[in-house]
Parts: sequence; structure tokens; C-alpha cells
Amino acid sequence: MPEARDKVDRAIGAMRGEVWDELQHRRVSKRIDEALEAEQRSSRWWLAGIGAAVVAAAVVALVLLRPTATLSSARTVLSDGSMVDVDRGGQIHVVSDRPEETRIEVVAGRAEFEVQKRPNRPFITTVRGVEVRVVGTHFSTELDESRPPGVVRVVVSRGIVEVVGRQGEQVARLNAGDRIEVSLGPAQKADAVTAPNNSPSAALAEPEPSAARAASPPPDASKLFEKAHEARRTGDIQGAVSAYAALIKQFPHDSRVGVAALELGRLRMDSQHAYGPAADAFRRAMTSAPNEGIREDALARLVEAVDAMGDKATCLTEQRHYQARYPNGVHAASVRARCVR
Amino acid sequence: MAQSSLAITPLTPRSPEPASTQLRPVPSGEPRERLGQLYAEYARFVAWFASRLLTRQDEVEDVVQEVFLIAARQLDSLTDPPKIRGWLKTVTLRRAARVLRWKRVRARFGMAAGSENAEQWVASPEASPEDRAALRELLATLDGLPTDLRIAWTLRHLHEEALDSVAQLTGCSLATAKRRIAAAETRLRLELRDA
Repeated sequence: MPEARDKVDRAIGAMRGEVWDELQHRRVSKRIDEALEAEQRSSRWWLAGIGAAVVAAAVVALVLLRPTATLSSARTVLSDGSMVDVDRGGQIHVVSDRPEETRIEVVAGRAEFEVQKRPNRPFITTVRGVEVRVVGTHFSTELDESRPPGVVRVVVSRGIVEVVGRQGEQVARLNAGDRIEVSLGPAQKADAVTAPNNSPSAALAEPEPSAARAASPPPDASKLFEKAHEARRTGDIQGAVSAYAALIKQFPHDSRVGVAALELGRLRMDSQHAYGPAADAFRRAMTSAPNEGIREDALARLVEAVDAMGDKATCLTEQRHYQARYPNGVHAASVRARCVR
Repeated sequence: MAQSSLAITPLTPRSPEPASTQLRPVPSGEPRERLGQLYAEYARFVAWFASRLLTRQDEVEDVVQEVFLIAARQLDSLTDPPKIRGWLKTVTLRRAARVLRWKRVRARFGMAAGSENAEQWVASPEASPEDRAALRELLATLDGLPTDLRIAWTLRHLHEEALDSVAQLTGCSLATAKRRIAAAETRLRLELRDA
């Protein structure tokens, strides 16, 4: 009897106290929002019909959705909670979904991946022999065969992925905001069609479409700053991010760089959930800040970003920096509440 | 992917105490805003409560979503913090119970999800391999219990609810709640001892 009691006590003690993180919080809130929007749009009649269809679809899905199934136009939730959405005629094949490795083959079209943090557990996507190895966390792949011989397109919204060519060579390591097209033509050297920005400041610099790159850059920093401000005002987050990043890259000594980096970090973190690039932007804001207020804001947000990344050691270090520099700062309470997980 | 109105409601900062022991201000304002506040304050609590009953992250997320969609229709009655917590517990329990019952039905037809590594998500990152093994064994044994017994035992020992609270949450008499907990305890002792 005591042995059973010991096991129960031991098991209870092994359960995690914290089961809810920022990623889940945002993901579920978005799903709730979408469900509420859908409810508002639909009449009761339609809701009843859709409800019946959803129930029927759920029953079918529960029976049919298993590893190794080939799927199209659906969301697949993997065993670790990672999710794959396929659309645009997309089709995936779950080759394996095991604790030690997840491997998914994109057979056709586009697939979007939301991958849970998986230290030492590979999450690999293959598209016609091109491998995308996930370091974290949100990206999409697309097999585009509209222009022969076709390309594999990879776009990273958050986190980092490594793209490996068909002969096993690493093509690129992509950060949040980066994209790449890998040609499916016979010449392997032509693999990287649109390379990501691999400069040391890649995390801050925004890769631009080739058409945009061909255009002449805006003439001065103030125009870029205004452009970013306007894009932000109209809700064009990507436009604002690109303009702020361009300002920082093209005019590194301009007096607006500190503010631009702070704003870029905020957009990266709050709107794009790209915590690594956000942290880089906040660090840049601290070094280029025109006044102590901006510097304090940037440091507080840096603590928030590294906390969201789960980097406890860095979080504690930056938290101590903040508390030493701004013991009565305006963000003291929120900074104090960080770095606890 | 457009930013939604709920998505910008930040997660309430963690505190040493579990959210279940805290009383939050009564949400006010427009319905969507109130739901956003409610979600920000209580999503973590609902997830924690559900995670003691369910072991998969996707199941817990589904339950959290369902609970707050139900809350969206009953916002006017959710004004008193202690009652909000009680209401959320009841609704979460019912939704989680549905999931558990459905899993048992699927298991009978040989369609159960693999139970190996069931502890993977619920185990603390600091848990030792031995602790994880004990947790895996406990979860496997709980999977074999009838849902009513499992819920009663879980509420008593994993949620640490008082006996009368277990009875209230499960909608049965105090005597029935005690009987279910005792029956679950007996099964657990037998099976864990034999394992």
C-alpha cells in the first residue's frame, strides 16, 4: 500500500504548475475571436447547418486523422500540439509523429506550420527533397509549380528554420520575416533564388521582394520614418516593419534610429510575435536611444522579449540591469513580474 | 493574419500563487472588452484546471476555447469574482468530462490516441525520469478508470478540492462523492501496487 501511495505522491509532485504560455494564450484568443466573428456573421439557420456539418466533419476527422494519413485542406494537430494548416490545394503526408522526431512531407501546395518548442527533437518538413529543419516556431512552405521547373517557397513568420537542399547541403538559415525560394531545376547551384538577408544584422534588416529591391531607395531617413509612421497608422504592420528596418540599415547614425528600433521591436514582438528579432531591435534601441526614457522603455521590453523566448538566464540578467538602472522606473512592477518560469 | 481584438489582451503576469486563489476585479465595459478581460484574467486558471483532467495540450486548448465561448454568451451573469471562478470550474469540468468520455468510447473501438508518453506535456521540465515514470503510470491507471471515478479522484487529489466541493462540482451527493473517491483510490492502489 505505501508503495502505491508513494507513486501517487511522486506523480503528483512531477506535474507542472504552469501549463499556459504566451503562445497558447494568443493562439486560443485568436481562435475564440474567429469563432465569435463567425457567429456574428451567420444566421441561426446557417449556424445549425454548419454545426451539424462541423460535428459530422469532426467525427470523420477523428476517425480518419492519424499519423501517416495524407491530408488536404485541413488543420492537423500533432502529438506535441504543433499544428499544420494546409490550403491552396495543399496536401501533406505525416511520415512520422514521434516524441523523438516529427517528419512531414508537403506533397502539394502550401502548408503553414506552428511548431511547439522542441529542444533536441527534430521537426523536419520535406518538399520534393528540399528539407526545412525547424529550430522554432511559425513558418510556411509552398510547392509552386506554376513556372517550370517549379520552386519551393519558405516563409518564416516567427523563430528560425534551416533549409537544406536536395543534395543535403545547407541552403540558408532563416530568421523571422525571411523568405527563400529554392529552385527545383537540375542545377543545384541555382538552388537559392531569393536568398535571405544573411548579414550580421539580418535580424533587424527586412528582406524585401526582388521588385522592391530593384527600386531606388527613399531619399532620406525622415521620409522612411514618415513612411513607417504612416504604415503603422493605417495598420500596415509589414510595411512599417520594412520601413523602420530600412531606416536602421541605411542610416545607422541618424538620430531617429533609437526610436525606429524601439518601434520595430514593438511591432516584431506584439504583432509578429518574433521575439528574437524583437530582442535584437530593443538592444539596438538601447545603444542608439536619444534619451533615457527610450532607453528605459527598450530595456523593459527587452526583458519581456527574452522572457517570452524562455531564455531565463538572459531574462534574469536584463532584469537585474533594469532594476539597477531604474529602481523606481515606470516599468519596475512589470519587469519584476518577469523571468519566473 | 490580422490581429484580433482578444489577441491583444495580454496574458496576466504570473504570480507565485495559482490564479485560482486570487480575486480579480469585475470586468466592465463592452461585451467584447469584458470577454477579453475575463480571458486575460482567467485563461491560465482554466488551462490549469483542465490540465489536471486532460493530458494533451491540444485538448486543453480546445477546452479553454469552448469555455470562453460559452462565457461570451453569459457575460451578464459573470460579475462576481468568486462566482466567476466557480462557474469556470463547473464549465471546464463538464467540457473536460465530455472529452474523457469520448476518449473512452473511442478506446472501446480501438481508436484511442497512443497513451505512451502521456506524461510528456503535463510533467514538469524539472521532473526526474523516475518522477515521469510514476506520472506516466498514474495517468495510465487513471485512463482505465470509469470517468466518474476518475473525475472525483482528480478533483480531490490533483485539484485539492474539499469533499463538499467535489460533490457540488460533480452534481452528486456528498456520500456519492466520497464513495467514488474511495473506489478510485482502491483501484489505484491495486493497480499501482501490481504494476
